[in-house]
Amino acid sequence: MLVQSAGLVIIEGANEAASATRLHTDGRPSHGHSVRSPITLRHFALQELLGADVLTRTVARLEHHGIQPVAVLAESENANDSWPFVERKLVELSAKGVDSVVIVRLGSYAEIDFSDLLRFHENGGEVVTCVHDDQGPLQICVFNLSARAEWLKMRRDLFRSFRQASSRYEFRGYVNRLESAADFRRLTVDALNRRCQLQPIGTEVRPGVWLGQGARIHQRARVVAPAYVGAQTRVRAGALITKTSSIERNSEVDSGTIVGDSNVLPGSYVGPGLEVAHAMVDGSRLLHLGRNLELELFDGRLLSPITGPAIQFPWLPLRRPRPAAVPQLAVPTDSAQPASLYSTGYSAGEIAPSS
Amino acid sequence: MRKNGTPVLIQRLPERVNAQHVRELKRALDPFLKSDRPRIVFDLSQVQEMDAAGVDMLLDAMAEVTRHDGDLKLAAPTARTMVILELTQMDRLFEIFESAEEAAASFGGVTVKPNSPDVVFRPSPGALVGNARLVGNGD
Repeated sequence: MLVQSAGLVIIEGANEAASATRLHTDGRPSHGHSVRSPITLRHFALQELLGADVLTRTVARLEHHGIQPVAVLAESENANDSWPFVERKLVELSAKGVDSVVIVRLGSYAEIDFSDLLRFHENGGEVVTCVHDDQGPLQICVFNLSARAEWLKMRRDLFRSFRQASSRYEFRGYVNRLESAADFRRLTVDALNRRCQLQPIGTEVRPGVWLGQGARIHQRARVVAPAYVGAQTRVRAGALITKTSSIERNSEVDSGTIVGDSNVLPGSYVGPGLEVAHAMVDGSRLLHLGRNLELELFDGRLLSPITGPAIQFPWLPLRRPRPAAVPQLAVPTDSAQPASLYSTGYSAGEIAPSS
Repeated sequence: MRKNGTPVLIQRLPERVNAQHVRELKRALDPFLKSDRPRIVFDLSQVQEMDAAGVDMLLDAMAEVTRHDGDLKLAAPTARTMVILELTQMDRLFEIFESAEEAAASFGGVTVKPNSPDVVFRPSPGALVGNARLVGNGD
């Protein structure tokens, strides 16, 4: 019997923080210097990494495994306030004949085989199956919607049930919990070194060097593999990108600057003759990973934000061979609804109120 | 004539070494930078803010002391200042020490003790007053 599954991705934490991360990195025109939140306070799963954020990649992975539609919910600071929205969504899906729903509380990057998870869940026959690795729960569960009375009873205990679910799916694949900037940096390095399935968005112009659409590298600049230069980004003469660095879209590395073992986040200008080492740069902010120290520099000659037009995100393929029927989605940004990043066939995100 | 040459000047820089305050700072430092064979230590322990203009000021100061056969070293940068010095590659150009005394001692033949009159300069309004003291063997 064919089991229909849907997905629900919950962005945990304050709406403002989640929205702010997306708003500031989508390259939409802003007035003057954009106000970017501290890097250390970011929701790293919403931060672009090699061309696409973990939210986008998670939705893609769910849909790749036939889990559709996928809804995205930005959770308020008080998780209990989002339960009515979650419940409404579950009731709605149940009414449409959906048998099970995969709920992901977005945080970690985990290369879950959702098909295998669903099979495990169905074979187990439990109401809830949650995913664990050797460090604990991964905030990913499958709910059996046909057992409506059972999951309605859970109500505000829903998220507590992530830890107490009777059925555990032990995952032994690649996981990065993205709890810190260092984790984010580590995921970048792992991806560029092909130690995980996370694929840079762009073209591999030579082994280990990926360029996004419209990226421009001066002929006297050097990009040492493995490295990533995002869409519409410029690397000027004499610059050097090295040691598994990533320069995200709509950025610029000016003449003679060295970027080593670092991430330059979208829409960032790095001035000439500088050396960015073991750091994350976002606009005028620099987080030194070695010292765990973040600065904001109010000097456009050193670091500054760049504003630019919104761009379309290409569909991101998984590294392994995929079935023929995977849809190719364009992902337009939508200034009216920052959470609505996906094409039709996928329900728009909802923002749960904070009170 | 001093036994070991020109005394070492330890000049503490103010909290803000940026475009707003650099001109005043340069004016105050010029007499020392242009002296004969200057041996100068910039004490960065109070510096909280430094921008490209501040870095330019360091470079200009280094150029000036070099023109006069002297040397300029940096001391006691905060972690924040050190990040900026590394970002701008100033750490490759300047010797940087953990303390002003260590920097002064590195000039060689210098006994580090406060036995010379202080020199006070006045930076631009609103900034901290920096204190300079001469360290070296007396006459």
